Amino acid sequence: MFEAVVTRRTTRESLVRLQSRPLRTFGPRVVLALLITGGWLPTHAQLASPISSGSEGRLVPGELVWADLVTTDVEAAVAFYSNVFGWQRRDRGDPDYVELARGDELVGAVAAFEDDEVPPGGARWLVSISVKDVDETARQVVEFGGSVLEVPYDLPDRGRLAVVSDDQGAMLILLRAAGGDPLRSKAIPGAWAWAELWTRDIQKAVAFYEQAIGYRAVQDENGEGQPPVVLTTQGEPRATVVEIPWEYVEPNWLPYVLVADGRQTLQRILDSGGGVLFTSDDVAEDTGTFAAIVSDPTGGVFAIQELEAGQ
Amino acid sequence: MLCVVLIAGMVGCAGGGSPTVRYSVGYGSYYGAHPWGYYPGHPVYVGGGGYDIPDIPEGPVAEPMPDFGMPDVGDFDF
Repeated sequence: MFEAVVTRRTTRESLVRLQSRPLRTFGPRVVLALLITGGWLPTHAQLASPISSGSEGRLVPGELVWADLVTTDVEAAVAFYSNVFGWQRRDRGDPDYVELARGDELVGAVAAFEDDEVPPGGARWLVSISVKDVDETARQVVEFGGSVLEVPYDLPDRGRLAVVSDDQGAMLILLRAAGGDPLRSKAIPGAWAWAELWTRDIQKAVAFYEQAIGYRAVQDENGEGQPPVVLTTQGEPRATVVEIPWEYVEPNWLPYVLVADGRQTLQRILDSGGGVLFTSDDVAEDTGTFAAIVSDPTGGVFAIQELEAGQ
Repeated sequence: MLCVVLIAGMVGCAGGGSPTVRYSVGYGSYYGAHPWGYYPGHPVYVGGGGYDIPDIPEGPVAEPMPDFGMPDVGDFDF
């Protein structure tokens, strides 16, 4: 059992135990069906799609393979991302859960918060990292100082997942995807391209992600200035580790969307009701390509990165 | 207790109508304060750049956005 388990599942667990007592008249399967159709047993959505097609069970541990937006207003969020990036909605029969696609490929999902007490603007993007064994990795997370926020469970057609936070509080999802991880070649405009771990203590973060998740951290000696720390698996870069420069920001995983024209996208974000927190224009040094940290109208913060010339 | 649960499941909640089944994806809890401390009620831009900010409608303002300011990027060793 995980010590840091969120206790809100107690009610469901007690109902399941109720169902398993010996019965005189009805068999347990009948009782279970009645409990579900009577609304007494909440279940995970039978709604989620696989995150990949045709990958034939290929797993890429450490790769960022999916992103979910948990929000207070699913419709406002879907409208924003459709407007800004042209992502199409894929309804799954539940107004609290909508998937987003770019052409034939799914890019993520938008889900409503299950709690009613979320303040306005509380939406957040959760990135999913591919792991071979969700349960074992979750145990490692706890062993090395992190927390389990949602214990490992199976989401039909999506796979097995757990919501965890690292030892400095950055949240992420561990996912063993049913059917395998998406096959990716080059990042393309309008799709997720990268993610950064924003953290207070880079050394501590490196130790955690190497020990708990299995990354290997290297310093990228290419380019100018302070070499960034890159988390790798199988010799391939998966994410950069960034030291938070502002006291107001807490550790988090920040996903990036690649865009063809950063400033045009920024204007579209503002016109669509989003917000802009910071852009590379605000840094005196020439940072190369344009990038910005932005927010959708419901508070989901992410980043955009312009294509480099010649990409 | 078990009989009460069965009966309720068969006929719906007291007061008429079946209770709706509530599905969840399992990761929708409220996980605490937003890491970016950003509560949009209005779009806000903190840097320069001369972007056109659309007209902000009248109404209550959400919590003001923290002042991010310029990050201290440190010294570079050449």
